[in-house]
Amino acid sequence: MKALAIATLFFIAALAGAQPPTTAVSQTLADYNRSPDAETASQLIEALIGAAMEPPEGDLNVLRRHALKLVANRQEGAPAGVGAGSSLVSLKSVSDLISGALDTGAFSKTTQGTVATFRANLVGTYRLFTGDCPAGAVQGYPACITENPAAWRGISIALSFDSSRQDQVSPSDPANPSGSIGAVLLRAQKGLAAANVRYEFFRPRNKHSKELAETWDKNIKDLRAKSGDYARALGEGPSLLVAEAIKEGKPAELSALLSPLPENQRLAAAQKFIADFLAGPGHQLAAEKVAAYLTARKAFLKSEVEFFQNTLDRKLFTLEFTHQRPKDEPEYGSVRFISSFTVGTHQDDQSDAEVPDWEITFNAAGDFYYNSTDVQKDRRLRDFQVALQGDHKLWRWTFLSQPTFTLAGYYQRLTDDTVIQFNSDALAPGTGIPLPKPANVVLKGTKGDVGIAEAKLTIPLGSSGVSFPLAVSWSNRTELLKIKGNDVRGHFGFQFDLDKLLSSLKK
Amino acid sequence: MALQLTKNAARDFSGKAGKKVLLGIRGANGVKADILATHYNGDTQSAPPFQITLGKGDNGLVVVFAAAQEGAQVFVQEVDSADPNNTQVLAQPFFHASLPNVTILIRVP
Repeated sequence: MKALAIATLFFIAALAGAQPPTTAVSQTLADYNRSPDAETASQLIEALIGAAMEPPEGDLNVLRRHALKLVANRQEGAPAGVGAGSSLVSLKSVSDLISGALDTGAFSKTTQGTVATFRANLVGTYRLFTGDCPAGAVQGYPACITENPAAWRGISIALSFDSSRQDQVSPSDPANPSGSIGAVLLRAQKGLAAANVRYEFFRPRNKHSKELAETWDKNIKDLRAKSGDYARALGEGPSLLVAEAIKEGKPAELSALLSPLPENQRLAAAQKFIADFLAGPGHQLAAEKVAAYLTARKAFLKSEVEFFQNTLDRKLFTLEFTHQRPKDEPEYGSVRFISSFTVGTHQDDQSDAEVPDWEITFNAAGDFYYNSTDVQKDRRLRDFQVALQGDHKLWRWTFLSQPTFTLAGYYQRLTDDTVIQFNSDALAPGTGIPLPKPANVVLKGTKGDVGIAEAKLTIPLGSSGVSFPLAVSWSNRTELLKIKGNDVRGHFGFQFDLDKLLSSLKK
Repeated sequence: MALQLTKNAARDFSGKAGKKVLLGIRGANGVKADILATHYNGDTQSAPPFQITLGKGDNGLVVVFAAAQEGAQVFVQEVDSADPNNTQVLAQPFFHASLPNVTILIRVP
């Protein structure tokens, strides 16, 4: 028995050694060569089963299609302050997105009101266009997880487009709005509302540190809760085959394959062996179980990657630069510092994991004009802002899905009266009179303080992707408009996560 | 309580039906490692203590684990529930995030 098992293992090792077909196979083969025994052999066989069932590596079109299929709306909002975007606070994003890139694709898209934001990171973009992982990825395609601490890892970019921007006709006589004489055509800055570059600063944890051990122990419960399905699928699928292979040895089939084969045919031969094995008497059920295993594996790897990123890396802070292109103001730039942290912990009833009571996000930002013609008193600083947001999942809530309660505050100091810009570069309607080039006008009395506070309850409707936000906001004024008294508004509506909706429709 | 599994020549293990086996794990060179889940004889566990009850027949014990370093060797062990220092190594796989598991064959007559 031992001889047969060892023969099997040597055969598979030789098979895989000719041309390692996947990262997992090459890794397990190296392990097997280092320590040729039943354990490493088991892993090697499982890796070969995985390789036999997954899309062939090297077929870039297949992989690209696979990647595109996985693209999802895993969303981060528009940068704060863009168009109709509703965020008071820029939320942390890149690490989530890198986790998102693991299984979702290169780009993410979100829509807030009329503003659509596309965000991309370098790993995902590289993967999408090459159909492969960057060099050194410790987890193969499509996850492409890398432990590479190089600087590029923290970069992401975002572009926001506002579809609401329309040209407007301003009549010369308000009493006669349809009169064309003297009317002015105000041309809106269409399309791009903002372009954003974000960089996240990480510090890898020392793998032998007490800090890592504490974070590990805190996060491992959550990962365990998501590991059971994978273990079951393994036990009912590939591991069953491994046990069978070790028991049976499969000498007849193997001996036929032991004859020398051209290098490029060896993986195909291994795949055929596994396929024949699965199709053999008593193994039909196992074939279905192997397919179920691959599904469970994909879900598990996603959770595993999130665990490692949350455990091994410590995100310090985020810096971002946003090129703002307002509808009716001169263009300006924003530099923003973003930091997030958690306060308090409690035990999650469902996963038994320790989860934070509150997730706090802090922003500090300054806006400045590029062009000296846009400024007054030689002061390019347009304004500065601070914002704070706390999110608390109402984990004791037992009716329907658990809602999230959010409290947010925003303070902005406008250092001078705001400048608005008329982008009139056409003819006045019905007159043929050329309008002057873009002109800046100072909006008197707008200098001062802007404060906004918001309380919001977001109730998800199951896992459908639909949620029901209820919010109350208070503000003392707007940027361009001073108001008497305070402005208090209530908001409600429906939010749709199209990706989840489409996913549920596909089921 | 003593250790319940006996190592066979073929590097699989034997034991008696109904006996309970407590599992543990440690990483080589002090690398942090933990068992995430196990599956044996139709039973799945995803929270400690990871303890299986030996069932008749040849069954694969699946151990899914995590380690803080890619490529680190780990030792999956049987632990004496009465004396945690009394252990035996059941498997010594290397941790790879893409295949974080090992299967151990247990034969129970």
